[in-house]
Amino acid sequence: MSKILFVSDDETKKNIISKALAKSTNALLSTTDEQAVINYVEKGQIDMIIVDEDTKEPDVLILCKKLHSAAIKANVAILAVVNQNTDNTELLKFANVYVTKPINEKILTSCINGSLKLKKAIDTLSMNNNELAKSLYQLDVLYNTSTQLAGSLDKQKLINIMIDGLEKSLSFSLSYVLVFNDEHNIDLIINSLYGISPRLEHSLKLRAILSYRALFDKKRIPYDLNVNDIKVIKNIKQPIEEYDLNILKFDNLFAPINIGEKFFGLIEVFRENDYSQEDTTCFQTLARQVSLPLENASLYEEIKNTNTKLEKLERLKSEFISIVSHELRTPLTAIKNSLEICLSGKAGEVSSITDKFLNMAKRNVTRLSGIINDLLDLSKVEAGKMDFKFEKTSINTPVEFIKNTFENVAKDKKIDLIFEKEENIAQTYIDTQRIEQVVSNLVSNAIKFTNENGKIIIKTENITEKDIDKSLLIGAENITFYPNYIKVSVKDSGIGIAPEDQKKVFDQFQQIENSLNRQTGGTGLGLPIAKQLIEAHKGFIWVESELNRGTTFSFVIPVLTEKDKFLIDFDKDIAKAKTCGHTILFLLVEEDKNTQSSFIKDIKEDKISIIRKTANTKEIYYEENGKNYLAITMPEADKFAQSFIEKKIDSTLYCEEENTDSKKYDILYSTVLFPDKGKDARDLMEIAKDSLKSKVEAVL
Amino acid sequence: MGDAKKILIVDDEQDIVETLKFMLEAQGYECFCAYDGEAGLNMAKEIMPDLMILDVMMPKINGYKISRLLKYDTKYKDIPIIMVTARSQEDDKIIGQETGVNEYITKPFELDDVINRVNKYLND
Repeated sequence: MSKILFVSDDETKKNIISKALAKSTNALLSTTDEQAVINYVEKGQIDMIIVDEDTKEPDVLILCKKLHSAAIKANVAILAVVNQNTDNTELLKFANVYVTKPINEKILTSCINGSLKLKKAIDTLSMNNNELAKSLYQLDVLYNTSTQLAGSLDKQKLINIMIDGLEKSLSFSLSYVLVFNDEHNIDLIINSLYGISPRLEHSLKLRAILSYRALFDKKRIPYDLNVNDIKVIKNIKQPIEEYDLNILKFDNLFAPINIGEKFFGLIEVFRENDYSQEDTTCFQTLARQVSLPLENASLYEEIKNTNTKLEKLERLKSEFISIVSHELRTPLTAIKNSLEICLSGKAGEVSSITDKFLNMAKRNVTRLSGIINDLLDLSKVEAGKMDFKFEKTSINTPVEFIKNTFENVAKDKKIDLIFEKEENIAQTYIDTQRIEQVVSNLVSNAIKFTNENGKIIIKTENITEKDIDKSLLIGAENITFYPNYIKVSVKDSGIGIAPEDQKKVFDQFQQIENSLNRQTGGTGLGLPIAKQLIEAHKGFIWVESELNRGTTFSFVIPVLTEKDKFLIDFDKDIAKAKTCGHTILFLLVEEDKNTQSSFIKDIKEDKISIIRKTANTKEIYYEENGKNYLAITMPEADKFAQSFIEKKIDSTLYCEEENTDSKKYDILYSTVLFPDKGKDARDLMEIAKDSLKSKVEAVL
Repeated sequence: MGDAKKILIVDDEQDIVETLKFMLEAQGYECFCAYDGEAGLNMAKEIMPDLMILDVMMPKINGYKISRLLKYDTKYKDIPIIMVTARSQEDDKIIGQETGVNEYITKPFELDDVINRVNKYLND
């Protein structure tokens, strides 16, 4: 039934219109109150207006003008009754339809019906349109939510994203989510527009438990929930008002959050208006969407826990070895001392047979302390506690020293020990003592496994990255290669190593297992230690061997520039910062090579100072593409230090005399604070360099 | 042997003390022994030894503390101290230097090595 308003009190015309409507179910109202007409239209209480050109009170034209936009908005048709020869073109413009006087009843009926039909069609269209827009909006929210969900592995965050998505798409009054962390750690997260009364809170808890139980058969219930196990987390938007139990009568939607057998929780939302079918679909989709990332999150958590446990075990192992080794040293010392006293003859005469066995005991004590030292070395280097003293020097020195040390041992076994030395070997950063340890291990192995009249060649050479056969390297993934290397190889004509064993020689305790049936002795830790020591030099060690033909052990160490070394040290600082959770400030200064007054030079010569140098800070000066650079790393410096240093540099750049704006130094600089930005040293260097660029652009 | 040089050995490991004492006495030194830090410190003040051999890890007072207490006291600061430890970390050597230790020996040590170092301080 449509309502038609006739703006006039002319009873004659009203009767004619009534007659025209007689056969329909439409109702006719009439008024002459302008404001009443406007109210009807704005509130959408009528479907059509009929005006008469001749009506003076209210003025028809003025009324139509006032009604125009509201009528279009509410889709109310205006029918004008005009005189046959009317010249009121303005009125005709505002009217959707018109009939001329005298009124022909049939024409009027058909006009009214036509207009009403049109109105109905437009109404339906716009309603569909509204629903479509709402669905589109929900779809958009769903899409955004699912994108956000995919990006997180944090349970709490996932739940929050879901609630946020639900709020945007469904605009609920109150929602609760029951989240299972573990058996006695269950959260009830309540998001509410208004505050909630204590008894509502309690009944929400009970409702959650009941809903939870209803989801499962009694036998299959994962945990038996208790009210006391539930921790309530409340997010209230407007605490000015309070919901009470009556909110439970609102329309509600409910869904479990689960994947197959795996149950994460459940969710229920309430709102005053009823939910449509689309709302329900949207709600269920969201609840389903959160399940998958929640499962990922809990898997991730498991992996993380396992990893932490493994790391702890690894650390405990290292500590255990370290403590045990230290404890072993004291009794070993007492045994060794006693043997030495007996052997010295000072404690009484020693028969030759006694001497033989005492010597045997002493030899084995020495061997035992060698094993303990190896164990300690390995645990230290693995725990990153080994102190290296890297110095830029030639590797020929330690290699030659070891060759000389073993000369006599080799001669005793009639083995030819040759050193093929590269006289122009590139200098690089090495810890001479550790390199001696590695070479000594390789040479002593070679002697051990080479028969009499054999030959051992120690060789040093300069090579490039291309010369390294990467298929021989074990565990060389994610490793930075450098363009140039120095290579040391020890080649013997010994018994060789079977292909299947070659992979294992660098594994810990490998030889200990075998040494029982192999009469060669040794701890089996020499090669694993050598591998760790070489890797600490950023190098690689590998083996090539042929049974009964001989074995070649080779290692390479990169030829590092000062900048490479700086970046390696920087990476170590970063690793330390990560474990200790402190920050590192990185400063990069760039200036033209031919600058008149050099900031970098003045820093170098201590004419100006911008930072307080400590044992932790490291600096480097280098040249690149015609520019001079100064880079400084400052572990434990924070953002306050950052702004302090920036201010200090800025004030240094200008002449101290007053009234001069001239710049004393012409530099570009940037500071980067780790871990806010960057993931490793190279990355931080890049970021610093890029922000240098952006500063130039800012000035321009 | 009234003018024999006096050496004080402080270590809670009696077997090690015994072997050191035997070898040092064979060299003609007069040896005194203490088996914990407190006793060692008291004995040092009482007998004014010409040299001390100190273990690091000991009950009551550790070796570093004894060293620090003696080296910062003008009366005892000239007594040479040889520190013996089972640890071989660089940190220890740094602490040792800071507390005024003259020599540093890691277990297991060669008796000859200890004797050589003792001779270096007492025979010049």
